[in-house]
Amino acid sequence: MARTKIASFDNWKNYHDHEQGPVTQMMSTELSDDIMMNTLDKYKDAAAEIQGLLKAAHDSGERFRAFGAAWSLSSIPYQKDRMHFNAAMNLRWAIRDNWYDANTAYAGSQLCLFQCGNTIKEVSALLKRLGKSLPTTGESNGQTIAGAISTGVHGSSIDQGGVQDSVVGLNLITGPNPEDVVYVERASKPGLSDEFSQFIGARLIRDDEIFNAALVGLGAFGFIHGVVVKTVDMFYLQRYTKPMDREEALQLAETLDFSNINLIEEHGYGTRPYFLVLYINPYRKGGEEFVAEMMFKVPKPGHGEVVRKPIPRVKKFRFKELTTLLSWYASQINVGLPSLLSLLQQGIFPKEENDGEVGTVAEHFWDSSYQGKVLAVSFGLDQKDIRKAIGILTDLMRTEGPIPALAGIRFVKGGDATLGFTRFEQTCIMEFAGVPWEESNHIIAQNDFIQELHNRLKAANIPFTHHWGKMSHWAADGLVDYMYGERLERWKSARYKLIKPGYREVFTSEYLDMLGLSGPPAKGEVDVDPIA
Amino acid sequence: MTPFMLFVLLWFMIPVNYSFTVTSRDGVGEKDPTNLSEDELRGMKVNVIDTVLHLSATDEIPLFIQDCGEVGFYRVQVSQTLSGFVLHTISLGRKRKVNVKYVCIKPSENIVTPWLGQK
Repeated sequence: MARTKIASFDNWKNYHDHEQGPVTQMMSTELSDDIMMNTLDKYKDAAAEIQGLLKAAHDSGERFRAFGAAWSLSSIPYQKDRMHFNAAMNLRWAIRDNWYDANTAYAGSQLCLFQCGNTIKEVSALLKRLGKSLPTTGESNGQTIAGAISTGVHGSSIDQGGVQDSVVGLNLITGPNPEDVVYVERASKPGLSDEFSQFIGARLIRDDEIFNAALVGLGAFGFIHGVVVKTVDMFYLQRYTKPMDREEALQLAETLDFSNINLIEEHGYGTRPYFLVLYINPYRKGGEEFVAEMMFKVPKPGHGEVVRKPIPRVKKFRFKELTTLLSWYASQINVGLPSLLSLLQQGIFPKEENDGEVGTVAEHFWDSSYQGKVLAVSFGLDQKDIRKAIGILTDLMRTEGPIPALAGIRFVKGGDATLGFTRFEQTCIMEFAGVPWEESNHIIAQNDFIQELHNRLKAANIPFTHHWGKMSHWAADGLVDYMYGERLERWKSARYKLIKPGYREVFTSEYLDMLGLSGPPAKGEVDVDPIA
Repeated sequence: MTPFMLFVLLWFMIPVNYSFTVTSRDGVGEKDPTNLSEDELRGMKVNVIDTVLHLSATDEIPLFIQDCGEVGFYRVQVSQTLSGFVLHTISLGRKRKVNVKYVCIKPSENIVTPWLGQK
């Protein structure tokens, strides 16, 4: 039988050392070690264990929040009552074609089922054995699959969505009864058969509204037990960097038109990269510095062919306290910033010396290590607004700062998730990253900086969203309304349809309360028909 | 001892404090949400070997036998400290301070058969 260990915390911190608060029960469920039990039975057994934990939370009038790697910089994984660490729940399977629905929208041998606690690295390990890959991942591979989709982890693959956009179906646990274990897919894009749902012990729901809302569900749509993911054939990418002038970089960001640009000679004039990020140092003397990091699809290296691989033999880390110390120093006397930014640039900007490396997605976006406290704020924007928005950001960084951060632009194709922060058809992600700072006579407070950025973007009529797993001034008035408008109602209605009364409170948190996402839809609870 | 001699002694001894880490490229470390240490082992289930070995002149390199399942070690961090160096020196090599932290690879099923069962 699966078993759950329980600990408690006076002051729990996320992976990046941002303090969250006390936790009454920190639970961690391990799979059954019964060697006579097959893996599917272990999966169902784990579901039963989770149902018991949910019932106990409900009966105690407490909230329950599952989390994975705790990499999020926001408070999204945190809940003071009961938190559930799911990393040990890591079963994973390829799905045989005979489980596909007769009307499936997917080609055979494309779908895999991952239990919630599989990290992206574990996902990639299975896919490698099958000759497959995820189309995109985040910059590293430590997020769990459930955490990655719940917060909208993205890469910068210009013609792909975020990780959540590869999801075909969700196996959710919404309460203690047999009918509370559900497998949700889009009605418009069915994947697997009803028999498959029964096989994994779940009730099939095909509903676009519920699926799209639950996809980036922020932990409010039940316990994500399993995720069915669409994969692609394994492919190889070659990486390059290129300094660009401001105009050239912004024109590229606005159009993603590569037909008249020679990015890298080896790949020919007009070749479209698979992956592109633009890094910006707004503080460089003589004007902003733009550096493009790009990756092109290349054939698999031949047997015996010597290529440079992205995973180094030795990885060196700078003392993590160094940037934090310099940040404090800079905020106190306002003269240490050039050396800090130089350090930051070495850590954040891509290195030219790594040009030409060839590897898979899993190899390029490999392990990262604990680096102490970090700052990362990401905005989702419509591509048409990127020039104006970057102008506002870099202007603010210079006039209200300098702040200990550098900027960047990523590109992600828009997705269907109701509250996906990559909701724009071609989403540009504008970000700034560095080290957190404290207010002083020389530096504006971090939240005031973000609030001022919000104000200026709003004044310029630029719609935006925020990455749910990164930092923002989340308590700002009307922030979520501005970001999602009528989508909020659709999300709340879908939630009230799926989660029955009594358990809605279990699947919420202070973070959702603060954002105004834990309450009923405006049309009222009684008007929402539960899903059949 | 003059300050200069003390300085020279420290100059040679301080570099004795160091550590290095070996990690698996393809493995995933076992996790522990209660580990909030501020180093690269944060969030991992860390096992520690912290002992002093008593060796005789005829003993070979000591072998520590640990249970890390069938898949093995994810990360091994070996530390050498000044106190360990001093102990080793003054005992003429008979006492060896061992300070090793290691993380096992996260247990995983479906290693042999990745396919979900037939109908």
